[in-house]
Amino acid sequence: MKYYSLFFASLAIILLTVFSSCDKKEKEDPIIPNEEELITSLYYTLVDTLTNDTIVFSFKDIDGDGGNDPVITNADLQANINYIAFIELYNESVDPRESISEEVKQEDDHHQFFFIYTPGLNVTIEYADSDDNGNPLGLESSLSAGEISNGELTIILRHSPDKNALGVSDGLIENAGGETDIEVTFDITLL
Amino acid sequence: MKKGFGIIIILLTHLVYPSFGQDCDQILNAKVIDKNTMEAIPFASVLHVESGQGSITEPNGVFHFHDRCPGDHTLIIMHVGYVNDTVRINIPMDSLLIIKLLAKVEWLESVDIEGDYHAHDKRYIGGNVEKKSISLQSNKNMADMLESIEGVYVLKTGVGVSKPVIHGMYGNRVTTINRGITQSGQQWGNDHGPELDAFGAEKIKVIKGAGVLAYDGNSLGNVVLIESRPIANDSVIHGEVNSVFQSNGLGGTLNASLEKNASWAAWRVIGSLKKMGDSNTPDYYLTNTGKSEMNLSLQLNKILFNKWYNEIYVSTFNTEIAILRGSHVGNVTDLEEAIGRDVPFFTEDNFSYEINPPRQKVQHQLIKYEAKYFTKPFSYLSFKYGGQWDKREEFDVRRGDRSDIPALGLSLISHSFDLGYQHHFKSGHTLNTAYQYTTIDNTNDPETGVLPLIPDYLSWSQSLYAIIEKDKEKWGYDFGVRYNHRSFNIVTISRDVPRTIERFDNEYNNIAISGSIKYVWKPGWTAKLNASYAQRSPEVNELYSNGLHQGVAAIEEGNPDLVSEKSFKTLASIDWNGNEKWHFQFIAYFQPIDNYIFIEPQDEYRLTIRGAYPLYLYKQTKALIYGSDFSLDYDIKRNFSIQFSYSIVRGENKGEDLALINMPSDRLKLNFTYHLKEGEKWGGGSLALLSSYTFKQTRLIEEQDFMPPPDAYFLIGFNAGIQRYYSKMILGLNLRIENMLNTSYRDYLNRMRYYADEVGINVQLGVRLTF
Repeated sequence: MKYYSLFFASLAIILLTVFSSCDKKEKEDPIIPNEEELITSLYYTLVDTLTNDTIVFSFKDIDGDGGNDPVITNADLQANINYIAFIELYNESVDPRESISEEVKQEDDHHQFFFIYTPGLNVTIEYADSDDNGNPLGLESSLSAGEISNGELTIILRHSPDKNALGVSDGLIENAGGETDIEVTFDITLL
Repeated sequence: MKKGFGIIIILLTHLVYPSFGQDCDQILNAKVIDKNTMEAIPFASVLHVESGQGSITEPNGVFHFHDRCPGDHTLIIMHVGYVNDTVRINIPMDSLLIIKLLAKVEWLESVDIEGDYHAHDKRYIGGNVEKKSISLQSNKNMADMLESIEGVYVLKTGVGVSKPVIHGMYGNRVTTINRGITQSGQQWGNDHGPELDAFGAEKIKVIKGAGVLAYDGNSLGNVVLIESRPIANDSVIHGEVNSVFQSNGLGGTLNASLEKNASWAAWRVIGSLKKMGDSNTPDYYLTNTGKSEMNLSLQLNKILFNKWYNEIYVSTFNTEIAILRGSHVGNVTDLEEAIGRDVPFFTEDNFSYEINPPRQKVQHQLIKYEAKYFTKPFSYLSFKYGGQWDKREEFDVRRGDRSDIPALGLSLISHSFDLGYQHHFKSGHTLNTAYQYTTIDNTNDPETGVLPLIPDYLSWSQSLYAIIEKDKEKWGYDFGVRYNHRSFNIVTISRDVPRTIERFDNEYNNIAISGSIKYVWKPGWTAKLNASYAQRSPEVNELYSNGLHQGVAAIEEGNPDLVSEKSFKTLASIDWNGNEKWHFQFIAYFQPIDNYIFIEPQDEYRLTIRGAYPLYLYKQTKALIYGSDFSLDYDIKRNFSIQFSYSIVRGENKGEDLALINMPSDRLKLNFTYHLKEGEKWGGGSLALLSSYTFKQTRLIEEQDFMPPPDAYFLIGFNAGIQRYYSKMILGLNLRIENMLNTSYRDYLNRMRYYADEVGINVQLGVRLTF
C-alpha cells in the first residue's frame, strides 16, 4: 500500500507542476511579416518618341494575393508611332513604397520579361536592354505601333528562365520554363 | 491471470541456474521459432518444470538441456512479445523439437485490438511491417512501409514525402501514434509526411475497432501505431546494426540500436542516418529529389517494487527533403506548361546529392514519460506525458538572397497528458478508461516575409473514454465510447491593408461510439463485424487557411463555419484458416460521412499580379466511402506459396454526384514466395517475386483535375533474404529490387504526376547484424 501512495504522490506532483505551468491563455499577437518580396504594382510607361508624351498602364493590387481585387488602368496609344517603354515594379503596401525593379535589375540574368499580344493588335515589341551575358531582360523595350487596331497585351516576368533555350532570347516564352513572378494583361487600343 | 506478473518477474531475474548432476544422460534439444514468420527466436527463456532449471535460446533459437532422464518432460517457453507456451515432450527424441510461439499483440497490457485483417500478412516477404521488415526497409518513409498492407495506399509528393491512405482516409482523418504519443505536427498539408523514424519499432500497425477510441487525435476510425519494443531481458548488451544501400538515388541508410537490461534501468539507444541523392526515372534524373535524415532516440525502462513500471522515451528527428525542381510553379500557366512536357523543366544531366530550394527542413523532438502501477496482473493505473516540439521550414526559389529564408516557417509545441485505468475482471472482461488533455501552440515565423497560409493558434483538447472488451477463443466483443471537447484560439492577419490582427474562437464537441463482435463458428472460420460512429471536428487549415498555396498553385480559403464530420462506418470480415494449404480473407467496409470536409475548385479565379489563380474553398458535403480487400494464400508446397490480393476503394461526393478526389484506384497483387530449408547455421532464407497491377482512376471528370489521371501500370519486384547464425549473433543479408522492368509510369496519388515519371529500377542491398 505504501508504494501505492508513493505512486500517487509523484503523480500529484507532476500534474500540479504541469497544470500550473500551462494555464489557458490567449495566443499572443503575431508579428506581421514584412513582405519585402511582395510586388503590388506594375507600371508600364510608354514615351512617344515624337512628342515625348507619356502614357501609363498600371496594375495595382495593394493588399497582395487575395483581399480586394486589383485596380487595372488601361490607355490608348497613337497608331503609327514608336514608343520607348519602361517597366517599374513596386511594393506599395508599405510607405514609402519600395522599388522591386532594382532587385530584378541586380539579378538580371535570372529574370526576363515576355510580351505577348493578341494577333489582332498591330504592334511590334523589342527588347532594349540586356543582362551581363547579352541576353534580353525587358525592363526597357520599344513598342512600334502600326495601323489602328485593338487587343490585349500580357506582360510576364519569369524568374529563373532558361535564357539559352530555343527562341527565348527572341522573346518566345514556350521554352523558357522558370516560375512566373508577374503576369498582367492590359487592353490596348491604337487610335 | 498470472502471466503479467510472471513476465515482470522474468524481467527482474535471470533464469540461469546451475545444473545438478543426475544419473540420466539424455539431451533435450529444441528450437523456438515464431509461428507466423517461421523465424528463430533468440534469447527466449525456457523453464524445465520438473527440475526447475532454466535456459535461454541461442541466436538461432536452439536450446539444450543435458543429462535428462528418459520419459515425459514439461517445458515452459517465455519471451517478451509472445504468448507463453507449455510443451510436453517425451525423450529420447529422434529429431529436433520445433516449438512455435505466437506473437502477442501487447506486452503488459491488452489495450490494443489489432487490425487483424492483415495479421496473416506476417507471412509475406517484405509485405509485413514487423520489426525485421522495418529494418529491411529502413531506407523508406514509414508510410511507404505500410503500403504492403492490403487496403493501405500512399499519398506522395515527389520522392521524399509520403503519407498513408487507409481505406480511403488520409491527412487529418488518420492519426499516427508514435510510441504511445499522438504525433503532433503540421500534418494538414498533403505535402507534409509524418515526422518520425520507425526504425527500432517492434511493429507498425493499422488498428480499427473500439481500440481506436483510446487514442487522442482526430481520426475517423483509422490509427497508425508505431509500437515500442520492450527492451530485451538480458544484462548483456544486445543490439542491431543495419545498413541499406539503394542504387536509385545512390542512397545509404545506417541504423544502429543498442540495449541492455542494466541493474539501474533497462536502456536502449537508437540512431539512424540517411542520405540520398537525386532519384532517376528510366529516362532522366529527377533533379533535386535528394534527402538527408538524422535521428536519435533513448528509451529507459525501470520497474520499481515489482509493480511500478516507468518508461522515458526521448527522440529527435531531423530531416531535409528536396522537392523536384521542375514541380515548382509560379501560376496556373506554368503548371499547364509543365504538364505538357516529356522531361520536366530544370532537369540536369548529372546526378547530385545537393538539396536546393524548393526544400523542406523539419525537426521533431519528443519527450515521453509513462508510468503504470499494477494493482493486479493486467490491472493498472497509468499516467502518460508527451511533449513535442515540431519545427517545419519550407524554402522556395525566391528573388534576392531570400532562398535561404523559409517561405513557410511553423513552430508547434504540444503537451499531452493521459491518466488512465485498466481493470481486468474475473469474468474475463477488460475495461480501459482514461482522461486525456492536450494543448497545442502553433506559431508562424515572421521572418518569412510572407503572409502565413495557416494562422497562429492555441488549441485545447479534453477527452474521456471507456472501452470494455472480452476475447475468448470462440467469440469476443468490444465496445467503447469517447467524448472529446476541442477549442481553438486563432489569430489571423487580415488580407486588407493596413494589415490588422483578427481573433477567433471555435469550439467543438465530438462523440465516438464503437462496437465489434468476433465469432468463430467452425474451426478455421472467423467472422468479425465492427460498427462505429465518429465525429471529427475541422482542423485549423480547414477553418482558417487563407492565401496562396504555392505548392498547388491555388488560392485556398478556409471556412470558419465548418461543423464536425459525422461518420458511421460498418466493417465486416471473414477469415478462413481452415487447413494448412489455404487461407483467405475478405473485408468489406461502408462509410457514409455527413459534413465531409473537402476542398473544391470554384468557377472563380482570383486575379493577382502573377495572373489568375483558381479559388479553392473548403466545403462540406454528404460523402460515401466504401470498398473491400480480398486476399488469398495458397501453399503449393510446404515451402512454396502464392499470395493474391485485390483492393478497391470508392469515394462519392453525394451532394454533387461526383467522385471524391485522391481516392486510390484498384490494385491487384500477386506474389510467389519460396522459403529455403532451415539449417543449423543458415536459416530464414526466402525468395519472392512480387507483382502488382494498379488500375487507372477512371471515376473523375475532367473539371476535377488539371490533367486526367495517369494510366494503369504493372510493376515487378524481387526479394531475397537469408540469415547466417553465429554463436553470439545473426547476420542477415537481403536483396530487394523494385520496378525490376524499369517501367515508366505515373501514379495518381503522387502530386509529382503532373511533372515527372516515377522512379525507375531500384536495387537495394541490406546487411543486418543482430546480437
